[in-house]
Amino acid sequence: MDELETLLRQFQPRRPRPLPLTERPRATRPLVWLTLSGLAAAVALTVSWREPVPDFIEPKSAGLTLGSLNAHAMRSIDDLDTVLTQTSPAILPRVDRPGSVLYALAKD
Amino acid sequence: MVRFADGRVSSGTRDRDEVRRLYEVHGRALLAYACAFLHDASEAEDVLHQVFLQLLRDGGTEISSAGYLFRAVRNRVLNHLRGRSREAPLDEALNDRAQWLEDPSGSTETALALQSALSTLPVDQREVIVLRVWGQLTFQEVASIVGVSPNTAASRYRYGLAKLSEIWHGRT
Repeated sequence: MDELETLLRQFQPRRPRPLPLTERPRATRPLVWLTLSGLAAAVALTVSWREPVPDFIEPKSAGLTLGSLNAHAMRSIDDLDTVLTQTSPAILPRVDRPGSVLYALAKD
Repeated sequence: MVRFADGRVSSGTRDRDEVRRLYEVHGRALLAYACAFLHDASEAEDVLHQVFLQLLRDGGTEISSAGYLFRAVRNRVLNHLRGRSREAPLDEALNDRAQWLEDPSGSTETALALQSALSTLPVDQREVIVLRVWGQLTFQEVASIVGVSPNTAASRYRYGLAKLSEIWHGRT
């Protein structure tokens, strides 16, 4: 029996294949998520910045200030009236648009 | 944190290094032990990997001795076998994938013959022989892993060796 034991010990189990690479320990997982969230936020910001922003549409009344109106008034009252007539449709409700409430009220 | 038999305690990356070191030191014997239950050595390797990957994942494992590793492999193998519909027949098992023993002279034939002889033993005798011969454990340790008394472990070993001797010397 001892002889067989000696024989058995001469044989060696083979070496198992190496352990596969493992995932990182749990402690680093929050860091991974934090990094990924940061990246996602950065991408979202970059995309939103690169999207074409519509140009600001200046109202037709741009440039109409109290000073400029005063200047028109000093020049001529007709001049002031012309300027106000031209700019009022852009800055005041239209009373001459058919079907509107103001149009109906204006008729009355 | 991993606590070792000599009282050392380690944590973090060092844990992982220690677990990998244990794999290097005990890997061969643990593979042999898994092969005492499973005929397919690559299947046994998979089970062994599952045990060690679990150890790498678990932070608070206490590895008190090599016996812990053998017990962990045993539990994992038994669970694996429970989940399997049937055990592979022996003739299916004796192929190249099944080889887990290495002959010092490099003879695959002799190694497979010894494996074949071992595979004819009842599993409870085979596992005790593997634990004793390649695990280099005492009967006390073997008994603790298998869950029997040291006397039972010793008698299984003797019966197993006697039967193996008959088979080995009776082969042509």
